[in-house]
Amino acid sequence: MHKYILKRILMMIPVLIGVVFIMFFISSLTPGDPAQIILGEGATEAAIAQVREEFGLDDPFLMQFGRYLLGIAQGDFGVSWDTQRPVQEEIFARFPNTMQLAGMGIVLALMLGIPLGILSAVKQYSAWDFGATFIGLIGVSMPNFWLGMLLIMLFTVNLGWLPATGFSEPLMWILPTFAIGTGSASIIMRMTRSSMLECIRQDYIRTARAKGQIERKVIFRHALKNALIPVTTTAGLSFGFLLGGAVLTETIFAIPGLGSFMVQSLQRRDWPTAIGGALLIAISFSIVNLLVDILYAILDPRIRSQYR
Amino acid sequence: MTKRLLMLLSMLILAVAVMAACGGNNDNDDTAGDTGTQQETTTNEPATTQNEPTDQATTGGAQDTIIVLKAGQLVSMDPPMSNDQPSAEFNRMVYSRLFDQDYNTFEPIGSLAVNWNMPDATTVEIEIRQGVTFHNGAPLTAHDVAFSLTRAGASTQAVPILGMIDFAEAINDYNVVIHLEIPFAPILRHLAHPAASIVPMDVVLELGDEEFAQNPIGSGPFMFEELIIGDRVVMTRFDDYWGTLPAFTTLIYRTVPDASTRLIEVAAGNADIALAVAPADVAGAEADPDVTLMRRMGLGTDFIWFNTQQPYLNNPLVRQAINYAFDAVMVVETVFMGLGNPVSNPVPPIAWGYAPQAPFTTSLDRARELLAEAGYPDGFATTMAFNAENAQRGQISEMLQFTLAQIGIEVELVSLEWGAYLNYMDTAEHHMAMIGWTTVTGDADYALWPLFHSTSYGSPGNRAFWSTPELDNLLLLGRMSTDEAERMAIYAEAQAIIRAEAPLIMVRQNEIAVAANPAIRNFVLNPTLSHNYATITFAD
Amino acid sequence: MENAVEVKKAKKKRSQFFEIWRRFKKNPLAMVGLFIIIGILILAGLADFISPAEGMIPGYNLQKWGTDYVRQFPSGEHIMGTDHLGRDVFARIAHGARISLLVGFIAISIGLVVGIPLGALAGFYGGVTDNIIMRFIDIMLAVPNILMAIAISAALGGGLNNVMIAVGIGVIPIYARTVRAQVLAIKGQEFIEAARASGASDFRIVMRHILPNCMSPVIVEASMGMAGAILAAAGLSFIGLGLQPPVPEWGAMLAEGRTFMLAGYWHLTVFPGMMIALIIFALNMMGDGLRDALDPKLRSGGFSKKRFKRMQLARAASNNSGEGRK
Repeated sequence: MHKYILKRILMMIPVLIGVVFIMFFISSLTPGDPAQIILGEGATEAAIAQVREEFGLDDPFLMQFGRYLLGIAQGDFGVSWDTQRPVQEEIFARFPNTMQLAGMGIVLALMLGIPLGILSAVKQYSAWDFGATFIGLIGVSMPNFWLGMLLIMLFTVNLGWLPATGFSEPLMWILPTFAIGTGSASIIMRMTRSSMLECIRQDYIRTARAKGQIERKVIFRHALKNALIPVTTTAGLSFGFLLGGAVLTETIFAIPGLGSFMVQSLQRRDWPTAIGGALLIAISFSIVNLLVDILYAILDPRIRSQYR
Repeated sequence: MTKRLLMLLSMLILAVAVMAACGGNNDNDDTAGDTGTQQETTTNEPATTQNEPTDQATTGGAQDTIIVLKAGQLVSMDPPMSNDQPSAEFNRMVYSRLFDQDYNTFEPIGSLAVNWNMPDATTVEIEIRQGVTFHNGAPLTAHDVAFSLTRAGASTQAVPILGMIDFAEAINDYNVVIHLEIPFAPILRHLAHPAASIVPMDVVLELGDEEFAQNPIGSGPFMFEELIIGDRVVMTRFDDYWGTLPAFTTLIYRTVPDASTRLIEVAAGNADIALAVAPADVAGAEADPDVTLMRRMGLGTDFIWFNTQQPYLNNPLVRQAINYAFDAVMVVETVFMGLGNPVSNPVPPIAWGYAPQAPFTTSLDRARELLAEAGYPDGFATTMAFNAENAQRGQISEMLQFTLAQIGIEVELVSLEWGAYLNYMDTAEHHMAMIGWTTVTGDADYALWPLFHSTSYGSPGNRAFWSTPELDNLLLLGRMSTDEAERMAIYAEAQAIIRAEAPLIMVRQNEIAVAANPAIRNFVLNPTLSHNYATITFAD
Repeated sequence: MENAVEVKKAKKKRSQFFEIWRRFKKNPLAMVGLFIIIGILILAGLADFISPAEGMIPGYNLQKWGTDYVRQFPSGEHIMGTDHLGRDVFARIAHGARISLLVGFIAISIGLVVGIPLGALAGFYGGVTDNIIMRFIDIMLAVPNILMAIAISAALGGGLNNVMIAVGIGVIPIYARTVRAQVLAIKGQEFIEAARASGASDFRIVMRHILPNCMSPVIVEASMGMAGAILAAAGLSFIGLGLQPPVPEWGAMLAEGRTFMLAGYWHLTVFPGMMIALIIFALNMMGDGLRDALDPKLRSGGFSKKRFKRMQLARAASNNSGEGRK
């Protein structure tokens, strides 16, 4: 297992270099002169030449890429074209907010999804099942940016209960958490339901029932334990999905997170910031994936044996 | 009616979620504890003040915190290192300058300067106020002034504002002489710009530029407290401020990019001032008792430039014809929903040196006549460029396309990304293109030299690639004369030449719209867009 | 003789199709999804009838730009009201349906055209080829789809073609992975060995024997993926990096309408938002139904859901084989 984990961590390195390369390549497709983007309106020829020199914009593509990688290795993410500040300062300041938002989203998704999923599986074909299924369908179809807008209209404009922007105090966390978590809640609910249904039909459940155990005990002791294994991985996958979803949710709720910041940076074609942000998200995404795989292996003995 | 129905529906959907999550929220707080505490430690000081505005805004009366919502984050806290609105507003509150301005007449008013004299257009002699201290307790002297202005004169970010400063020298502790590289009569108005703020020499030299920008020290009414990147800047009152002490103790600038969301937060009592209200929200905000909508004409102007080096557009008659066809009134009413005014002059009507010109009253017949006179009765084909991310410019371009089609001019729209767009204009590839200008000093020179002088072709601002020796000469005379009446006459002449040659279409004068907590009093909008919040008091 | 075989083949194909349709029909939610999609297709087809130009060009209504014509609430004349430039919202929704369907379709096609060969190559040849392709896929998967799409469209600029490319590139990994997992499963089966023994080329084996047998999950993923692509395109336009106004893309309309939400003009956001939700709902339901219909073994009572389980299994499989090969 340790060897496997180490191997996976080492394998992350080429993947991350690949991410930087792809982002670098994409950035090179941008029309216009980066120096012009850096300086904005009213730049003189001399200033443009100076900036080109300073940022090494005249060097060949691979040289710029190599220099960037070297910088990253030393913890230097370059300088923002927009604010002229070190990129790492900007992205690390915002990163915790994004992780917190995604984390709260996944917790909400689990809190909503698992109970509703169990309920609709246990009472299959009942009004509960139908109701939960229907809400789940709406949840999964609702674009989170639209849901966010509706939440602001309802809870800030009409009711005046909750603030619509910011992330510095707990009251501000509620609306974005709902906007980002609802979709994943639906997915987890569907997963829990189907996985529960499958477990309930298994032999050992039938045995347990035949042995005369109380229904509630059967469900929570035996069925749920096994049914939750695939749910864990779904939750892990959802977390990555939420990191992407944070981009739009943060934009709607003016949350100073990495997602909204990357959108702003890209709108201004501030590529060093965008590449740094993408790298940071890729790193956390890869780590979460690894954790999910490890967790899966721990929970499911059949898989664990394969990881030796 | 229908609106209520919709709300009911969405409420129904949400109610289920809310009910199910009642327990969930506590849990969220627990799991988020790690990051939450980390934030609490950094926001230690304002933690007490943060929760207050909510109840205060609703109860009215005195409050000790003002929260201002703005679209962007400041670029630098070191005055000459930025040229953006959020930084300018920060500088205005944290630092002092030699001059202030009367924002109705744009006359310079002494601020740190108590006496001044311009023996010629390249020299300014200034005696400064005594007894002013920086936030660290050190006295502000002529040495700090000389250091700050020399430093600002050399900064690449501040070139258009202060680049003409050669150097400044302290004669003694309270007298300073500023030497300019070129004759520059409007210098005093430039010295009122936030980029010309005075920094403490010793501190800057000791910390170095970068360190100072992280720990700025000024002599303004508010002291820098903390910056949470992407979220807020917190400032607290400086009790030893040399001027009138503000009536509240904490000033917070928060970044909220979406205009409607800013307004929502002020209306809901979660913030006090929302800058740049969207045109669409103006009518609603005016009717809303929860906010006060403040409006004031600004110094910004939107232009459509004719590239006078392109065929057809090199003919003044054609340019006039297009001006007659363009319906600026309609643009202001529809695209900007009445925010702003049509203008007939590149110098904003509120700026010093404005000389009213006859507007191009929209008339398609007159436009056709002029086209025929120019020799193109059947029109021609041309292009109109705008930057894709600016929806309003897109709409205006489409309206222009539609209008010009009626006089036989076929317009192809060119939509470009910002970087490419600037490049496109600077290399004179455009036929017509739209871009704005803000005469931030309020002086006609700043509206005319960068836009119409022959040395300003391309990126400095002259996107018409048009000038005349006569105009060049007038603009130079305007800089050399220190006599205000004489300068006024010079600029009037210059504006008449531009009106006759029509190298551009004046689309509109911007209007500033700000929404404020109704309890706020004594807040005056600043047409340069960097407002002074220190004067704010509260209704009882 | 020859003819009879052809007829028989065709008949078999037809009956297979009918069998799938018979199963699909039984799933009420899938049918609802299908009807919604048909409805949206009709709407898109009729866009020009509803209003030829009004959906696109604001200048069209220049004369009508009085204050009384803009931002009208829904009425008999304009069933979804008019927007801030006096354009009929329903007409724009109809034109927007074309764009969304087109973006979804082309983006998925890009994903399929690139993803299927990649997945087939990786699965069929294994070894170094597999490793190289899968590492590339890993790289693409390490950045969330929407972020990748935003970056590409920021670099290339907005506009229909670029948005389709941006979203299309982002979905390549899904299909590559699905196809690879299928190919791995099929490759070892006897009929493949038989084909190989009879001297068929690799290309022929893949095209004739392997790919046709792994299309079911690809079709299902394509239906669901189209929902994702439409959502991503709407999201891109919403933040201003996709299609720009005046293009009546639903996400762009939502962003435009957002400005008027506070002023109470709910119809400018509710209709585009509802349309996005509706089409995503319908495509997801159809995907669910298709999966059950194409693969009856996977059926389990009521509304179906195997997707994430299968994704997970495919994932585990690809991880294992990727590691195991060394």
